[in-house]
Order: sequence, then structure tokens, then C-alpha cells
Amino acid sequence: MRTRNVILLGLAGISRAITLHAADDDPAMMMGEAAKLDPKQVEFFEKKVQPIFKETCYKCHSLSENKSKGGLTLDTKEGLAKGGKNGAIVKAGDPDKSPLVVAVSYKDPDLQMPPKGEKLSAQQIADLTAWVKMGALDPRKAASAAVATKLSGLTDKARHHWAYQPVKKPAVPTTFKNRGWLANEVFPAGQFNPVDAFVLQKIEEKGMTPSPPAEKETLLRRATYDLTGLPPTPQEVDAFKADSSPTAFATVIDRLLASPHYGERWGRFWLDSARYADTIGGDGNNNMGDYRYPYAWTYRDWVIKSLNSDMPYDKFITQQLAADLIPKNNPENLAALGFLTVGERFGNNNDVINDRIDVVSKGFLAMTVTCSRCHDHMFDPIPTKDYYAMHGIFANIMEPAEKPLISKPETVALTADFEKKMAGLEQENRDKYYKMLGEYSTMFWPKAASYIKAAHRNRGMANAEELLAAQKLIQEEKLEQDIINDLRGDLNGNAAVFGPLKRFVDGGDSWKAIASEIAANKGNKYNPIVAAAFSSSAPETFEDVANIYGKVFSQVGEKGREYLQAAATAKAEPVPGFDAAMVELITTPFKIEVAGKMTTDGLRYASNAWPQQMRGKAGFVFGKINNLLLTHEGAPKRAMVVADKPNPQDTAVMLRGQADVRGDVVPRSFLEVLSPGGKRMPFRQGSGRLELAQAIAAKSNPLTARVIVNRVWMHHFGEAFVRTPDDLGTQSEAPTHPELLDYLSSYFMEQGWSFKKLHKLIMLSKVYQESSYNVPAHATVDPENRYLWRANVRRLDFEAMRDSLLVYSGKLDRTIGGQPVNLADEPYSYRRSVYGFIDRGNVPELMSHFDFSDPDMPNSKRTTTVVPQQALYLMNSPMAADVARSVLTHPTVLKAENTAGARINAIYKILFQRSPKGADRATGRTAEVELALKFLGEEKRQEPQMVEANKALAERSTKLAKERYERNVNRGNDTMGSIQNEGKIVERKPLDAWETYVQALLLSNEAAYVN
Amino acid sequence: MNSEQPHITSDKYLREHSPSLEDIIFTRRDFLIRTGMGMGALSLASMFGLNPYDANAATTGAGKVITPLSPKAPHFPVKAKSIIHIFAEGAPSQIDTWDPKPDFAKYADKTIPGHEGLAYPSPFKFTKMGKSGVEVSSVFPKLGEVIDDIAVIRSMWTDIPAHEVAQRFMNTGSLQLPKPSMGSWVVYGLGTENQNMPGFVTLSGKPEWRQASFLPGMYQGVNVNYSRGMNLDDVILNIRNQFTPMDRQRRQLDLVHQLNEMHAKALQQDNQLESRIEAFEMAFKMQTEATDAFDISKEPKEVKELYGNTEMGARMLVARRLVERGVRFVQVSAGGWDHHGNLEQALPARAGEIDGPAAALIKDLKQRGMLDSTLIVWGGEFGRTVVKDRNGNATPGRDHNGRAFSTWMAGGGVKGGTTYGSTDEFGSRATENKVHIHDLHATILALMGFDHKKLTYRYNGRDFRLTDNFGNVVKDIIA
Repeated sequence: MRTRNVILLGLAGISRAITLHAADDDPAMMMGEAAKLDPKQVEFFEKKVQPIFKETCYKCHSLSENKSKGGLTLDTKEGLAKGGKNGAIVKAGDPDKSPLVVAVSYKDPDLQMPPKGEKLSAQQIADLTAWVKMGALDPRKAASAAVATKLSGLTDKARHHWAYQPVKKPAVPTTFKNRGWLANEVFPAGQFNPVDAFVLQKIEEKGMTPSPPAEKETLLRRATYDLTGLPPTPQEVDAFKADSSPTAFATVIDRLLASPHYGERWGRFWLDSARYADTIGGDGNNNMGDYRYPYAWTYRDWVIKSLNSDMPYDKFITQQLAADLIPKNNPENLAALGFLTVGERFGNNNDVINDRIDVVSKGFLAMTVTCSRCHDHMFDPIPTKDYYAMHGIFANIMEPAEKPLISKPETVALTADFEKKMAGLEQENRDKYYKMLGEYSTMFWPKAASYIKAAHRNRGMANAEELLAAQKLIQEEKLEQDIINDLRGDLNGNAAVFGPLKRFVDGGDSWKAIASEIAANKGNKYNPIVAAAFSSSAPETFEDVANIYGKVFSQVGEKGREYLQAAATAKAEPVPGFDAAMVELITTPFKIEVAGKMTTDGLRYASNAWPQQMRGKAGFVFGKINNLLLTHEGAPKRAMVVADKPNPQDTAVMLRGQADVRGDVVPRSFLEVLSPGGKRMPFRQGSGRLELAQAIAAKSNPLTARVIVNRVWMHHFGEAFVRTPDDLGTQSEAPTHPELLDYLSSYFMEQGWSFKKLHKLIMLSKVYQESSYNVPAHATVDPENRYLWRANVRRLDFEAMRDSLLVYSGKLDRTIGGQPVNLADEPYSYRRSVYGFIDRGNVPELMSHFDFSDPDMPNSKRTTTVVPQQALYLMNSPMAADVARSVLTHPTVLKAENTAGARINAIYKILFQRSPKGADRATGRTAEVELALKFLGEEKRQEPQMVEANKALAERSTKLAKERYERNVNRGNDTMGSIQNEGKIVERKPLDAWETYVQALLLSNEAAYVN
Repeated sequence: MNSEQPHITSDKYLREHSPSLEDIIFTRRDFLIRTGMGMGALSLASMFGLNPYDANAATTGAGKVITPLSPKAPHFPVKAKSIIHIFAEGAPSQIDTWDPKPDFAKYADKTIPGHEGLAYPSPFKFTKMGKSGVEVSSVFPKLGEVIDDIAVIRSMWTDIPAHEVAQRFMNTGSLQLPKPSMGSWVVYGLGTENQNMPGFVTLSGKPEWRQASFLPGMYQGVNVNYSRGMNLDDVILNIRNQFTPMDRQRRQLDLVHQLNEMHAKALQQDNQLESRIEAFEMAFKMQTEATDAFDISKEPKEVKELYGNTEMGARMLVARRLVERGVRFVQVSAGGWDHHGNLEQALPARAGEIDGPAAALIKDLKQRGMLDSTLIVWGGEFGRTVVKDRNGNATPGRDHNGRAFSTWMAGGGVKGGTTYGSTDEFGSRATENKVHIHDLHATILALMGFDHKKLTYRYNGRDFRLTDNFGNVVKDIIA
């Protein structure tokens, strides 16, 4: 029997299949071009040829059916002209040399179309032949031309969009009505902050006036949250209030910028842009054995550290794209490449590349380049070629299995303990590997004949008889399906061992002749043991062939077992003492690697070749390994690097984004609209990553500085100049303050791309220090406060909210950097939220309730929603209860005088950084204290009646908490979202009156907002 | 010939699917711009002058806070108010469930054109049931009793018959890249009827089936891994307080409101922080109302018996209790249909789990007059081969097949007792009136009152929709 690579078809249902999703021919479009062509030929194509294509070929060969078997599509002019994987299918004028005609006429048994005997009618074949003979005219309009008639951003108007024009430093405005407001003690007499000049100009244009400065407590709270994401301490408030010098606030800014918490705050902002997460996403089912990245956090730490050291932004960019290509780079910077590698891992590599293009283009340039994956951008001047110019860059990088070491813990004992545990797990994995192979191989060798018969008869093209025979054999001999599945590949692919079998199946000569040809084994094509087996007996049936193989493999037995044992300790191949030909048989159908190759990644790779069920059955402990890496204090830090592939290739455009329908090859290069003179210059060095980084980080790049300055402004004021910080394209709104944006962008670059200098300039402005009080008259003119006539009232984001709770409780762990912690479950972590483990496939509910960005894509701006679940967290979570309790043991409270008023005052200092306020009463106390005392009095009065209820509550809650905890601990290491924190769960003791009062303050709006 | 862009519709503003998504803005103006929903003029007007959600609250004249979760009118009036999506993950076999092929029996253990492997006709009998006489498989006797309320689509098809991808496709309309889930879109479009309940609840299932993606987080489904007898404290994160009895918590919230009032006065903010105050009240009520929704012990005996004393019975009952309380979208995972082997035993067992409970749900909703306002959708992510899976087991099963599968809908304005579309003679490939996943989504949205082309969200400079650039409404199954 001959095997042929025949394409299988579905059944009938031809024409209808296209109606739903394929537009029918557009007659207008066709006629436009057809007018210039010979009408007769056009008619012939339309009436005769195209219907044949449609009815019989499109189902496997058309974009409309999303099928391009053999790389061939026939429903576009380009597709037909391009042909299939083996080239053109039509040679105009020469039917005999046109594979199309050869195939449909069934002249070549290896090339028959439509396959499976669905041969065309004689008339249809004659029509196709005639069409080729006439010159194979295809009157259809070219796809690219058709696309050009559609909505496109490839216009001069789009190219002249403001964001693509060079940054020019504008002159600072000088004429104002309210010049006095500009006076700024920090600047020399008569001078002012340019930021204020630009802002005041706009405010005055709108007929408004700016707001007076905020109170000192408010300003300090604002600045401290802005730069560190934490509230100021009571001592810091006192110090600032006591400092009456003109540089008091500048001193505060310097102190905050020098705080290591600065990097944690601003690092988190960048991590949103960088779609940072600790997992591969989706179901995690891409054969990594575990869905977690064991080292993503080293990138997160690098970001924090780099911002703390005020790494210039241009360098910050270059490191993240090309740290491995920078000469004499500090090895710690290799972690920066996590920017590229911590994204979602799709099954399809083109989607992984897409993710990288997305994060680079949006993250650094606020350009939506990925829109151009399938077509030219509809609004922005980004042709499809831009996308594939970048595609080429990321298609030429790989991730080395061995990730470079950044550092090991200094404590030797920790390292030793880690290494011991890791060695144990690795050995466990290797044991499982050899055990699984042993189990299956020893099942296969003695029953090889049956397995081969079953696999062969169970192949795609088998007839009913064969399939039934295979079914019977499998049942009777209890054959293992995994082995058959694996073997099926070997029968076709393992030429040395199964070449002889294939030779018989393919036929062509008498079987006797084939047998002696095999036995002769010219050029040692075949495994000598197999070849020799055919010299003694010439088979007459397939059954015989399989039986001969059966005999061959039955000899493997003992030797095979010995080999398995030896391989389990061998450092390298070949394993001494084994004959190569025998080893070839032993390692069929399952490759048996030597232990030396069985690193964790080596094992992942090796077991990936197995049938999925077999992998599952082996039960590898990849999850435990990652868990150890993610939680053990002695684990090394490694960088998630990339490296260039050795021979970089450019990418051909994928028409409509389809990998198997290719257009022109595009050299690796930068985006057209951002290239000098709009001319793409090919990148020459390796993948081109370093050149890409340099092009992005160039001062001449019109977007880079603007994009980041826009975002920095957003984080200081609540809104950016352009409120879509990841898209400054033609669809975005115009900036509110274009001159200021450009001024700051120029300043930023002039100051060596220094974030800290930029923050300081902005924060020393009067506009930053405005109060947030409402002015109804201005609110009607500018209800959204786009022109900053006051400071915006801003809600704390998730991290600032949660971190504040930790500060109030006095429990915040201020360690910078390290392995991720669990933010979702008890015991709750005392570490800052930026260190939370982020599972992109399953972001903890708590975080999404508080508007944490979807880490599947770059997201520089979060929503601010208010939903009941946020309230439930603060009202009911164990962490909130624990914080309320802990505030009362905070040193500031303990130090306070033992009166209710003094305690309340201390609590206000911790939570709100101010003293209680409100109109004085006859009591001489403030309204807020009055309110507190009333509440406390009532609650204390209620307490005796609450004893029973509290007792019942405590019992129930304790039991529930214990059950939950057990569930979490026992859920296993591979399940979603589990990094178990060390520590104790919160005691389920009902809150007393004071604790309930403190929690009320935590629930209040004041705790949630910055003024 | 225009087939180089076969999927592009004539609407120039509808664009190819793009993975590039980013920031969200939620100011009033933007909310209106992004919400290209063409909401009824009245509700649109009511949105003006308000700061929907955001930190910036808004009260109407009546003093009621309007938020993006407040109920909204759809594009056109319809009966359906809520959806129960029974997701039969794992891909049920069409010819054993809803697509009878009696003539196929003659091919048993033969090869058939266009297929690899041995033909495997359904081992189950189909019987005409109800007034409509729609044929029902013997594995669904109870659903047969309510077949006159059910519309069966026999001509479903999808793009890639691999579970993860196809399940994502069914629930988000996107094969690979992250997009909002169907439930998120519906709640985004309609808001929810009961502010003391989440608008979108899933009973198990994968996170991406309920993800809000680039829609604001409030539209994400709240998941409950519900099982009978579970502790009601665990149904929703932090739903019950373990430290403070409710009466004290009530007094505590009253204090919070007083504190907030002082704070607002001091700031001279007008209504600025109102929505957060409202959220605490909702949360307080949610504690009892949401847990109550899951407490089926409160149902009368006869109702419990109707649904059956099983996990699936309890889930269906919970689903009813949820929609009864105004939850907009409920998704129930009812999976386990990946029958590669042992189909003859395993499929009826799986079908038996959902048969009674789903039939009970239809009957119960009907009795309560809620069937018209509740759309029930049952179906998997693709279909199965009509030939045996090549595992050679003595007890055969079927492999994956994206070219044909069946789905049914009931209630919510669906024409009961009908079938739509058909497959080829073997039941292997949808042929007549094919319904793609995008078409199903368009139809579901239409039943909820939406023009699927207009339920859009502006993100990253373009309008996104559940149906990407595709989708045709199957009008024939709409009553």
C-alpha cells in the first residue's frame, strides 16, 4: 500500500460554507479592473474557473474558510499567483507543467486534487486546462489595492499628527493677570516655576483663577503618597509643620525622593505599563509543567532598584530591550529583560511576539502598533510592514534554558539547604522520568509486533477492516494507547529503525527485492540489527514485516533494562558498554536521555515530546520546584533573559495576520513614521534589539519623552495632559497643555532623562501645591478640572490602600525586593503590595475589585470604580479587623495620655495625619471627638448584652477560619494562585468598642482619598 | 472578488480584532463617549449631569445614585432581562444529544468519505416529543417534557476544536487574545437590577470566562464555587463579618456616614464622595441578600424535589434564586462532556445530571412567570466526530469536531419547539443555516435587546464589541 500525503476533507457542504463568513464577489470591484482586460477571458475565469475553485477547492484552500492546506489559497489574486509550499501551481500557457492541471487530472498518483477520489468532471478538468493554456488570466483585483480603498491611517494628515512632530521647547509665557500667584520662594526673586506659567496661562484664558495653597498636612500627605505610596508618619507631619523655612517643602521632596519606597511606588506604575505578572497566563497549559514564572520577580526588583537609583530613562529603556547586548553591562541589569519575557505565553509563538510588540510600542511609544498585525492601521500612520519589521526583531530572540545567576543569598547555610532540597526534587523528577520510560518501554519491547500492527492499522488512511483489526488487537492485547500514539509518529519519522517498514508499505518494487535492498543496507541507511533481520526472512505480508520487527525488539529486553539503569546515572552520551545500534532500538519509540541532560528545563523539553496523558501519568514535580524557587530564602536570583538567535531572518508580512499566507519580506527596522525622513533603515546587528532600543531612546524620537512625561503628570495630578496614556495616536484627544507637555519633555531630556528632577520641578510648582477645595463658579466652567484650577481629590489605588493599612497597624515590613507573597489569603502578608504574587490568569478577586489593571496587556492607567466588594473588604476582612485592633497598640497611641480624648487624637494622627476637627462645643472638645465619645459610650453600654452573640460569633468564625486555612494549605503547589505565606491567621476575637471605632475611621472616605 | 477581506463588514468603523488594549478613563464625558450603546434617550439623558461611578458620585433628583451598574435600557425593548448560561464544557456530542441521524446507523464500523476512522452511529434512540414533535435523545427524557419551550440549533460551528481555545471563544468571542466575557458585556450594557447583588455571577468555571478584560473591573463575574451544604460565609469574598455582630456593624456604618458628612462639608465637595457611601450601604445589604440567594434550604420541599437532590439540581435552583433577585447574568458550569471513550455509559450519566435540573428550571421559571424574562442557553464549545476516537477501546468514544455541534435556548423570547439549521447526512458538519459562535453571541445579545454592532466600548482608540467584526442574528429562533 502506498502512503501519500493526502489532504483530508470534510464532507459536502461546500458553497454554503462560504456564505456566512465570506463576502461574495464584489462585482463593482471586479469590473473596475476587468474593463482593461479581455472581456472573454474575464468571463471565462468568472463563469468557469472561479466556480470550480469555489465549489471544490476553497474548503481547503481559501482565506474565507481559513484554510490553506499546503500553503495554498485560491480566493485571492495573490494567493493563486503565489501558489503553495512548493511554489507556483500554474505555468501560464503550459498545462502539463502546471501542478494545478496535473493534480486535477489525476495523472500523478502522488498529487491528486481534490483528493480521495472526488475527482472533477471531465468538463471541469478541460476548463481548467483551457484556462491555463489561454494564459491563466486572473482578473481579480489585487488585495493590497483593495485594502488601500479602505479606511487607512497611511495619510499625510495622520503623519502630521502632533505627537509625531519633533519636541520643541516652547518659550515660557510671561504675561499674566495674577502674577502674584506665581511667586515662589524656592526660586530666586522675580522668577517662577515654568510649570506654573503654562498652567496659569490656561486658567486665565478660561477666565478662572488658581486656588490658594493647600494646608501643610494636606500637602505632606499628598506628596508622601505621590512619591512613596505610603502615608506620612505623625513625626514627619510635626517636622514639616515646624519647618517654616522657604525650602521646607523642597526638603520634604528630597527626603521622599531619596526614600527606597519611591521605587516601590513608581516601579509599580511602570509594572502596569509593562503588563507585569508572575504567571504565564491562560490555563497555564503550555507544557511548562507549572504555570508560574519562578524568576519574574527579579525583573520587578530591577525596576524598583533602577528607579530608586534614578537610572536615566533612556538607559532604563535600553536595558529592558537589550541588556544582554550592552558592552560591559552590570550582570544585575540582565533582569531588565524580564520586560520582554514576563508576558502571557500563548500556544502560538506569533501571539507571544505580538505581546512583545504590544508592550514595546505601547509601553514606550503609546502607539498601537499591534493594530497593524492584519491590516494597515486604520487611523495612525502604521503600515502592516511596521508590524512585521518589529516582528522580525522578536522572532529572532530565544530564551536560553539556563538563566543567568544574578546573586545568591549571602548566608551559606540557606544556600546549602536550598540546594539540598532542590537536588532532592530534581532527583525525584529524574526517577519519575526513568520509571515512566521503563514502564512503557518494557511494555513495548516484548509486544512490539502487536504495537506496530496496531499503530499502522490505526493510521489516518486505514480502511474499516484495518481499523477494526487494530481495535481488536488493542483490546485483546491490552495495548497502551500512549505507546501507539507515540509510535505512529515513529513509523513515519524514525527512518533508521522504521525506514524498512515504510519501504515495504510504500512499495513500488517486489517485496523480495525490497527485502534484499534492505538487507544490503547500502550507505548504512538503516539500523544494522533491523536490516540484518530482513536478510534471513523475506516478508510477504505486512503482518510478516511487523513480526520481524517483533523479533528484533524482543531481543532488546534485558539490555534495555540495563540501559535504563545506566542512563539514569550517566553524565553524557554515549553510555559506555552499549552498542550504538542496540541503543537505537532501546530508545525507540521513546527517547531515553541520560541523567546529565536532565536538568529541570531539559526534562521539560524531553517530556514535552510525550503524549500528554503520559506526562500526566509520570507526575513530575515541576510545581514543587517552582514553589521552592519562589519561597525558599536560599533560592538564587536569576534573570529571565533573552538572547539573539544565531542567524537572524526577516519576517514576511502575514496577510491578514495569517502565518501561512505570506506577502513581502520586511527588513527588521524601526517604525516608518518615526524614522528619519520616514525611511526605514534596516537593523544590522543580530535581532536588531539594541538598534530598536536606541531608536526609541533617541532624543529625536518625538514620542518617547512625551509619553513618559504625560504619565508622570498623570500620577501627580490624577489626570494626564492626554487621558489615554498608552495611545497618543490620532484617535486620542489633544493635550490640554501641549506647550507644557513639550516644555517638560525637553526639560526631562536636558536633565539627563532624570525622573527625580522631573518630579521635583513639578512638585515645586504652585499648581501642584494648590488646595483641593471646590470653587462652584469654576466648577461650571471646567467641571472636570482639566485646567487645574484646584488639586484633584484622588482615591488611593489598591496598593496605597492596602499598604496604608499596614502602616496604620505598625506591622509594615519595609524590606525592599524579594520573592512574591500571597495577597489574597491568610496569613496575610505584612509586605508591600507591590510584592504580591500576580497570577495573570486569575488575578485575585480582591485586586480586581480595587481596579488592579488587567496584566494581560500594557495598562498605564487604572479605572477608579466604587463597588460594594471594596466596602466588604474593609468591613469584613480579617486583615481589616487586625489592623483596627493593631492601631490601638501603635506606639503613638500607647504613648498618649490615658484619656479618651488623647487616644482619639493619637489615632487621628496615625490615620489622617491631623488632629480631630470641628466646631468647639461647650465641652471644649472638637466635633469629631464628641462623635467618637458618643459612639464609644453607646458601644460600651451595649457590650454586656453582646456577650452571648460575640461568643457564638467567635466560635463559628474560628472554625470557619481554620477550615479555610486548611483548604489553602492543602490545595497543592500547582493550583492557581498559591504561594502560601508564613505566619498566623488573625485571631477570630470579636472587636471591642474601641476597635470597632478605629475600623469606622478606616472605612471613612478620608482614609480612602488624598486631597 | 473581495475575498481578501472576507470578514470585514461594510461598516468602516468596525475593525479587525486587535489585541492592543489599554487605559480606561472613567470621567462622565468619556463614559458617554465610550458607551456607544445608543441607550434609550431617556436613560442617556439621565446619565448627563452625573459623574457615573468614578470617585465622583452622582445623585439624581430622587437622590438615588446612578452608577454604571444601574439598570439601563437596551437598544430595543425585549422580554429577556437575565441570562442563565449553562456551559456544557468539554464539548457534548451532537449526534447523541440534539442532532438525530437515524440513517447513519447503516455505516456502523465502516469508513465514510472524508473521515478517518470507523463510523460510530449514536447508540441512543431519539423520540418525537411535545406538541412540536422535536426529536429528543433518550438521554434527555425530562428535557423532552419541556421541548416545546426549547429551540435547538443544530448547525453550530466554531474555528478551532481545542478545549481551551474554543471555551475562550464561546465565552469571550476571542480565540486567543484576552477580551471581555459575554457576561461582562451584558452587564456593561444593561447594568444590574439589584444593587445589593453582583450583576454577574458564575458558579465555577475558569477565570477567563468571566473576565472583564478592558471593561472596568466592576463588570467582572463574581465566582462562587458553589456546592450543596457549603458554608454560606464562603460564597463571596468577605461576605460575612467574623469579628462584629451585624447590629454593631450597623451602628458602625452610621458612624462612618457621620464622619463622611463632616469630611465632605469641610472639603465643600458637592456629592463628590456620595457613591462610596452608597457602596457601603450596598455592601451591608449584600451580606444578607447575597448569602440568602444561595440558601436553598429556604425553598419549599416540592421545589427542592422538582430540581432533585443533586449538586446540579442545587446549582440550577441557585441560578433561579439569583435571577429572581435581579442578577443579570448567571453562568453555571455543567461540564464533563469530553467523551473520548466509554461514551455509551458516560454520556447518559453526564446528560442525566443536567436533564432533570434544567427541565426543572424551565418548568419552575414558567410557573413563576419568569421564563419569558429569563434566557436559558445550554451548549458546549464544539462538537464531536461521528467516527470513533482512535483509542481502540472496547467502549468507544468520539474525538473533537468544530464543524458541527448543537446548542439549545429556552425562554427569554426564544421560539420554543423549534429546530434551526442542519448538518450533513452523518451529522459531522453543519451545512444548512450555519451558526457560528459570533452568530450565537449576536443572537443572545439581540434577545437581550442589543444590536450587537452597537454594544461597543471605546478602548485604545477603537470600538470593541463581543462579536468582533462578525455575527449575524439568527432571527428564526426569536419569537
